[in-house]
Amino acid sequence: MIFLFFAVMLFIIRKNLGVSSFEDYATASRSFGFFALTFSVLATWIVGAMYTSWAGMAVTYGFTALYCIAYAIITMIVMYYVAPKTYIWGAKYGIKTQSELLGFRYQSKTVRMLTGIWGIVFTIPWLIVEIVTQGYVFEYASGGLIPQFWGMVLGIVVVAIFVSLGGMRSVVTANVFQGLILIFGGTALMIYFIYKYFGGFSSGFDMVANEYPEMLTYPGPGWDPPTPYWTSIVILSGLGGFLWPWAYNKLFASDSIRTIKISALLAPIIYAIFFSIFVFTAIFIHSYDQTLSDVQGAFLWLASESGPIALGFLGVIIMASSVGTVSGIIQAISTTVSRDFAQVINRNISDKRAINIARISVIAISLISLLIGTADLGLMVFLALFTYDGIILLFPVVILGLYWKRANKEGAIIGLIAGTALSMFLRFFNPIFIESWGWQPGVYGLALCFIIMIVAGYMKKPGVFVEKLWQDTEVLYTKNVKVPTSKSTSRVS
Amino acid sequence: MLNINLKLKNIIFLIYYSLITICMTFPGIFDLANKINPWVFGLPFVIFYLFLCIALLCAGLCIQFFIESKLGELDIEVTPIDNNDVSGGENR
Repeated sequence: MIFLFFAVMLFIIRKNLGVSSFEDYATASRSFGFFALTFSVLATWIVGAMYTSWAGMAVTYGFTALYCIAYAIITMIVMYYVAPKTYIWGAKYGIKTQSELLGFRYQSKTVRMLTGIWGIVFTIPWLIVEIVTQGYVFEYASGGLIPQFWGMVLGIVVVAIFVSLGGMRSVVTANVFQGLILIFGGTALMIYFIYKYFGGFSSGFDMVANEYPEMLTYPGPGWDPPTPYWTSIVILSGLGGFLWPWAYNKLFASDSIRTIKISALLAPIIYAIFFSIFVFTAIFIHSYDQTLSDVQGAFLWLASESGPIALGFLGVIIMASSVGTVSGIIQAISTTVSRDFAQVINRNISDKRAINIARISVIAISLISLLIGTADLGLMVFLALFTYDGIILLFPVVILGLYWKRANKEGAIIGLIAGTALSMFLRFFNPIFIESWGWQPGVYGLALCFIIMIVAGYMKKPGVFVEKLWQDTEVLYTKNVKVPTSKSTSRVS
Repeated sequence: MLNINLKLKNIIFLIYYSLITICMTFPGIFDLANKINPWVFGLPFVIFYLFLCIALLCAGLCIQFFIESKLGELDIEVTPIDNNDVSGGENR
């Protein structure tokens, strides 16, 4: 079934395997509508590790895993607010990546390259975890016939082929297919499990309320973090969730502001339904002793108990989730390497050469990921869980850059570095107050970055470039937006 | 004037989203809702409360979208600048 999934996916995207320009590779010539964008965001965002690592959290702690639906809506509000200027500046000035947008706004190559590095460094652990998940699924679903390493190779080769040949266009097209499978297939399979094993939602909740009531409230059984931990994970993930370059860069592939905003409306609703049913299933699964000994393999165990079709189907769903994320990540990194590093260092790179650099980057990233993927996965999962402490530092740089004229490059650079340093220091040295107060390291880093950027902003006036940029943007709004006047109001009344 | 009106609209909605988010996550308020009873629509109270907050945030987004659609904010036409040197716009 997994091979069939790959075959159908490649068949669907076969016409997209060929790019005419770097613009096409990076942004698909800004051509996608809301349906494609919504499912592309979902497919990139929902990771294959959801059925392993996140399943472990949901089966163990229950309600706490619902933090994902809480943060999803905050992420979409961020997407809603960054959309207008990202789209306008992107389309007007030919901007193709998040880093390029920030470099443009702050008029700084340093900001551009720093944010590019941040995007790549904090993304890599996710990439590795997803590739390893692919290998794990191949091995599990084939009963050990395909070893994990060769499963990883198979998965990454398919992704590398369609990303390098088709760029953003093939990634988004494949994402729609993957997104439909993982959302509708995943939801249907979970509902099947709930009715087959627990007699429906109502009886499932009754059983849990009688036997494991602590699974239904925060923080769940076996641990006791204070409430600020809940606050932190929702706020940090929510504000940082859309700042991954692999999610943010999708904005440059959309055909209008309306498209992005419709996606921001639809995605959290679809995600909330999908993920809630997933967590409810995990909460009910908690009642099986077999799953508690291997919480990460709980869903695969349940599927294998349901027969080969269910197991194969779950394998396809996990693979769809994983391939969607991996392809988005690899496309974003390769675009950043070509656009924000190579083309900044050497301005005279031709369009064709820019595409080739991106393609070589795809191969290099794939090989490096495979190499690291064979090493210590425990470390990668550990790192992946803490990457939000780093990526969240892009939030002040992005949001103040888009909405506050006074935000300047000095504040952005110092804030980004100092905030990340504080965040990482607290994360890795883990002082006692982090656990006792519950506020996660990213919160302290985020606050420091905001303070630095605001102080730096008041230390000097906005430059001529920024004044003109704001003026030009306002002119665009004036031409297009109809604000009700007092005259029309009086006519209505 | 135009810009001020749009800014005001954005700020009002932002305050609304922030208030709901505070209710959904912050210590004290969330703690009050963090209980199983009473069950609402077959859900433990805290899960219902979480869904309610998410629904209110979604409703806010829908209303904001509707207003922006009426104002024409969603259909801004952008003419790309031809000069490639401006692309990326940085001082080089």
